[in-house]
Amino acid sequence: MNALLKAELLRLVSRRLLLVLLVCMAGLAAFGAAVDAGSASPVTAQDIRTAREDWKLEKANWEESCGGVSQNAECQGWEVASDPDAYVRTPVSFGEYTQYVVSFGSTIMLLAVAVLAASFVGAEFASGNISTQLLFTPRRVPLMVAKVVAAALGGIAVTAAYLGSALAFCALTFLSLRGAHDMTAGIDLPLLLGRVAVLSLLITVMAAAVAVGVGSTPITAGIFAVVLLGSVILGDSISGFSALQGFLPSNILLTMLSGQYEVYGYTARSVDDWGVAQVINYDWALGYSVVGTAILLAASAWWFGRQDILR
Amino acid sequence: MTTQFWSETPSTWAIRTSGLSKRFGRTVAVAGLDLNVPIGGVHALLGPNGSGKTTTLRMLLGLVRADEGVMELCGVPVPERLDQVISYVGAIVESPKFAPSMTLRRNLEILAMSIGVNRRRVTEVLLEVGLGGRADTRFRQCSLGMKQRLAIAATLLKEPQVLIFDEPTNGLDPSGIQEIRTTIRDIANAGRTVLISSHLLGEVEQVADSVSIIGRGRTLMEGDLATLLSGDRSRVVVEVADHSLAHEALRQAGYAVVLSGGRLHVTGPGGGAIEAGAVARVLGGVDLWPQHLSVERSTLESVFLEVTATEHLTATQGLPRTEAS
Repeated sequence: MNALLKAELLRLVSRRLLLVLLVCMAGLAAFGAAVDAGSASPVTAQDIRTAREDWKLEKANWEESCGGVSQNAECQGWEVASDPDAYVRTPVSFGEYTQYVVSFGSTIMLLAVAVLAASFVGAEFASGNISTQLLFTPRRVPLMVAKVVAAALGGIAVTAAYLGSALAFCALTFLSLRGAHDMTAGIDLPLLLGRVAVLSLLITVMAAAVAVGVGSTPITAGIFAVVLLGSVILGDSISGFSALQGFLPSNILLTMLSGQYEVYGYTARSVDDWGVAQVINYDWALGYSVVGTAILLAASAWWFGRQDILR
Repeated sequence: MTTQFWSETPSTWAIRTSGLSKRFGRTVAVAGLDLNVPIGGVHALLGPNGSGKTTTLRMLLGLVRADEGVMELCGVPVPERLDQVISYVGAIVESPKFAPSMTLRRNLEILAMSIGVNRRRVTEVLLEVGLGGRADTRFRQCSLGMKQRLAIAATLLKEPQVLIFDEPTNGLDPSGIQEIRTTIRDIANAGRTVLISSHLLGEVEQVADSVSIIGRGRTLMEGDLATLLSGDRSRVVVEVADHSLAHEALRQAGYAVVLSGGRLHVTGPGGGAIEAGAVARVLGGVDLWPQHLSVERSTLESVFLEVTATEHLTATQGLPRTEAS
């Protein structure tokens, strides 16, 4: 098993796609850090001028529409602060800034690890190289396990490249904008990094397992696309509370990423009451994903073990 | 019923199958195949397209699951215990298949690593097959001949006792064919067993020690090539003025006679040995003097065509290849 895993890792690092993705992930993180840099930059005189202009405009609109009072039904909840400085933006902390950047590219990063895993395995079937491998190691389940573990390690490398680059670029940008004394982060940042890493690992394993089972990169991509799209459409078509929401892969994905996902719709209390109809918790999403991945692995191993290799 | 032509039936076999069957959907690929490959030398598996050669090899190597039957490789039942014997078996099934974007060296390194073979062995086998100078070429940039040689190098990583090559000279130019033929012969001369399947009967005749001819998924004939092509299967070709008189005289003398292309093709009584002098004496006995008389030795091609033509005839008389819906 050790020898097989070493061989699969050598195969993985020999693929140009891994290097390309590592570079792209660093680039994506750098781009995110640059795009969001404005939110972390200190308040300037220009910011204060812009805020005062915004305040004046808002106040004028309010007076024109509501006559300077918020009592009538149309203007309920529309209030304009008396202090124009309330309109001046508050520069985000290092933790918040980094969270923006990580969240910004995490979907692309998750797509990248899925592509890496599916193509790492699928390419062996497409080229027929899987036959050659099986002529050396005829026991299929250990071969599959080695491939999935290698793909997972590749996914971890890509994830680490993205998250590490995001942290590094954010730190450098923040230091240059605000200096070290403001550089603080709460627990939310490490929690987000952990969630992204766990989700990335699960997606990599799932993509590799499906690719071994179906023996094709495009079919694996198709299955993922159909499942996610179908899940989104089904989720949108459910207007009220439904236990099904907690089983939809798209909702699980969002929960895994954000820590908690609120499904909006008509609440259970009343058909006229639109709001948070359901909350999907992280614990549930994680348990569901782990069990789902285990089932997928077992099904793929069973199928791959019985499959006729004809290429 | 398989016709056997072993000069001396071996007591043990390198490869053996019995009652091997496989169907894909409603198509029967292999139908109760019995195959016996002796230890040592080159054994050729011959058969028309779709006769089940590649499927048989794939089943032996665990790539395709057999529906029925028993298989043994080096005396070990497969696929149940294939992992115990695979290190003694090297194989190329159909065209060589490797990662196209990787170099020849890297492809072999990965395979070597997967079975715990030292990377130094990669350089050795590349040199052995004449690819030492092209080791860093990407697989996709290689000619077919280089790919075949790489595949042979891969089989040698394991230092196997049994090698299985499916159509090893397919698509090669004459010099490539010559190279592969020499390599196969060298491997066999080193005491290993080589099983090849091929369409190129002339090539097989030059390199094989024994053959199995299969058709429609079962073995039709197998044995030593020398015995198969011995004088017993030769024929005498005669041209005389009066074909009917000659035909009748030879038939009464126990010979089998077929008129073809204005000449009589005479085979020995019961398909046995034939001598040109004996045929001439029979004809002389009825006062016929041949204008042409020659002995035609059997070739693998003539035997193959004869055997597979018979099989085709049987097939057209109603043996089902594909089940009726």
